[in-house]
Amino acid sequence: MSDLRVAVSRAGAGDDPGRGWAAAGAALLAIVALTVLDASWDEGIAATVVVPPFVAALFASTRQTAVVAAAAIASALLSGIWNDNFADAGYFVRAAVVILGGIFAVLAARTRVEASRAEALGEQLTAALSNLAEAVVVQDRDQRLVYANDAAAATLGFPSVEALLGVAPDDLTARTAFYHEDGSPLTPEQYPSRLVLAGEDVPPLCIRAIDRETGEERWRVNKARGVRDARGETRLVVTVIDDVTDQKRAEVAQRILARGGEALSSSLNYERTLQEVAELAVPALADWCGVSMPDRHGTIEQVAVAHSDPKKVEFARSYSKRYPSRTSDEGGAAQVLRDGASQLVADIPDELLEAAVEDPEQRELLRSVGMRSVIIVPMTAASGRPIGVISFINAESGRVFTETELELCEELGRRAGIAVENARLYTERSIIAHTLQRALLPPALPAMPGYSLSALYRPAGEENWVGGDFYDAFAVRDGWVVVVGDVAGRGAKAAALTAFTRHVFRTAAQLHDDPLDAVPYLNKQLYDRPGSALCTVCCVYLRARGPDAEATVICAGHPQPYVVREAGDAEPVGRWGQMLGAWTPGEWTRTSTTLTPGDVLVLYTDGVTDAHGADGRFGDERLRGVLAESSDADDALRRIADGLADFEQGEQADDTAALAIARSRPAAEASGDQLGSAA
Amino acid sequence: MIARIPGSEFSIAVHAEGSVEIVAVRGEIDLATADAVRADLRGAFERSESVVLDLREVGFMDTQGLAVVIEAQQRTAEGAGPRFAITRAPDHVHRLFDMIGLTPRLTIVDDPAAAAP
Repeated sequence: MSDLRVAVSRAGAGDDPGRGWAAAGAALLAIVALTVLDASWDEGIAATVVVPPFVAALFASTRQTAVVAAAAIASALLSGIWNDNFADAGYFVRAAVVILGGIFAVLAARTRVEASRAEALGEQLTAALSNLAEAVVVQDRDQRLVYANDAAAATLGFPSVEALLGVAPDDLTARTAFYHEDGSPLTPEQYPSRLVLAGEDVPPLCIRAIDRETGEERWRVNKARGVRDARGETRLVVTVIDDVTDQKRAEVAQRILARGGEALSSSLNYERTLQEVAELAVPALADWCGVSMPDRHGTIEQVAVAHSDPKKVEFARSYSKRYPSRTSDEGGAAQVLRDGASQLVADIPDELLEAAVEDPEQRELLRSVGMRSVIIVPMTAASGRPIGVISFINAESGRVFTETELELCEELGRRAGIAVENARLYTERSIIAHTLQRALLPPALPAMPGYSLSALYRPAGEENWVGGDFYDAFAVRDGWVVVVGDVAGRGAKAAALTAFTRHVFRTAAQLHDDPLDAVPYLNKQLYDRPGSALCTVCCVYLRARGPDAEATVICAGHPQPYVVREAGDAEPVGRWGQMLGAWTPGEWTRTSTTLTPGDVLVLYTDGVTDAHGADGRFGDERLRGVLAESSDADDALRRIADGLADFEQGEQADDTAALAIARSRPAAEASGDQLGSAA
Repeated sequence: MIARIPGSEFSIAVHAEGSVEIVAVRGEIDLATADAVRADLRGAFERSESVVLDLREVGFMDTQGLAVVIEAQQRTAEGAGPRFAITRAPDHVHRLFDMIGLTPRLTIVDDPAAAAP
């Protein structure tokens, strides 16, 4: 910019000052000579001094011309002395001619100097504009290009400024397709130059320009300003065009990768995630984007497809249903899936379509899409194995893919591949975990004739491995055993210990003459296990006693169960005993109580009492409160579940298990006891 | 992701009082924090033959927390092993020790420094 200012100030100096002084000096000499001649001759030639100022005006500056003019006027005025003709009319006429001539000469000099100054300024400005890195074009009222600099010619894809200026305005717009940043077409009415000519102020506009012939995509920011005349009418439009293709491509790539990565890591539902990724790619990167994955039967299934026009998405879906591709197909997606190498077809020739698609109807459908350029990249798992493909297609925008886009697409394919693989692994693991978890719980509570039994189990966290809480109910020689337990630890190790505990306990209870001898037996088994294997259990041995039942309770490090009698208060049953697996030997107190029909016995884990809400922990008192007046087993557990639901705040922190058992009313019991003893 | 009761900030302070290592826990010992307490206790046992677990500021323990105390207690079970003591937890926590049969097997002191040999 400072260069420009220097150039302008130099331009203001006008012509070469040396030549001006030479001209002025010569003119002054001529005046002196003419004055001498005038004085020595009879006939007055004073009027001839009017000529030198005009000569000076041709070459010298305004001031130099003024000096010459002043000298000429002085000579003309003084000529009366030596011609002795002050009184003559001729004298006045001659003096007037020289005075007027001098003034004209000065004015002429000024006009000439200014004109040459302006011309020099124009030349300098033009030179400056030509050297600008920014592309500048100037259009007149008819949108004809009247000026363009070198950068403009280069930016607009012309070999020279002359070539650019030689193109008609219509041809210029015809060879390029313009789009807004969001992909919508830029109509001629929206061209910044038109709006400026209409007198509007136009903010800089980011435009995607696609050369219809080469398919090359460029991003430009156009800043248009009007040049107004004295009457305020816009005569010219100056547009500065910034080619921001590189920045824009980097920005698009970054956005797609960043948002794609975000989407890919946000969810384990990979089909939905892939749809999001496909939608990110259109229209910034491609007109179409589709994701396909092979299924078990060798069909390459389209799992996601995106286009900015929903109708076209529908078209793609129905097309892929009608003409499904198979992993055995030649070329295309199948090929990419097989060898894991991406494909870029910059400009799809019609012959390719002819060769690739045999069915003329299918070919016609494909042709209607107007595919111009395609990229197919593999979605690769961490091992490098392709697990699907992502296709990017350019059609109506006329863009042609280049290596730059290919790199971006490949990166997207890699990231998507890893995300999909992780999601699949996670889903598989999740299924394994759930399968194991189901195996660790009794598949269903057994039918216990003579009793009604109900269970509640809530592992903490949706995707959690099995928690440490468990329950079981099984028949023994002369009755039933129900048990609720809590294994210390977390994750797979705790799950394994839970399974061990439950099965050792069940087997021991069924093999021992006294089923409750399973407690010391399990304690020894846990104690002898390497590492820490701790667990608490509450078990109840149930035997029919006529219409009632005798319940013998052992608590091993576990909270006492509650009994609710005749829909009254909940009272704890049993005595505390030591936790299992910590110390050996051990002794556990057996407490027997009679359950009459209508009594409900409730076993639970600390997940119930430790549940927290706004007022702290749920606690024993609240549990007793909700259990009071329980009418049967189902009712008791419903009360616990409702009580926890009302009380709890935030995420459930711990596993929760509860089991309720009640002696059935005599009417339903007679046959049951027989079955019970048969078991 | 374990939800916490407001105001129940968890912290562990480990310091030596003479030859006794004192591990003072504040807050709740549960699934979320048990491993941290376990690790600090293990470190204390590596440095000293006498370890005191100060539970006076522990407001809650679950099975995971109890397992940590039992594991520490079991180190001393063989007689010749290190000495381990606790300073009594608040009653509702101490009740859990009674429930699981741990209390009679523990050395319980009022002042952590008093556990010094």
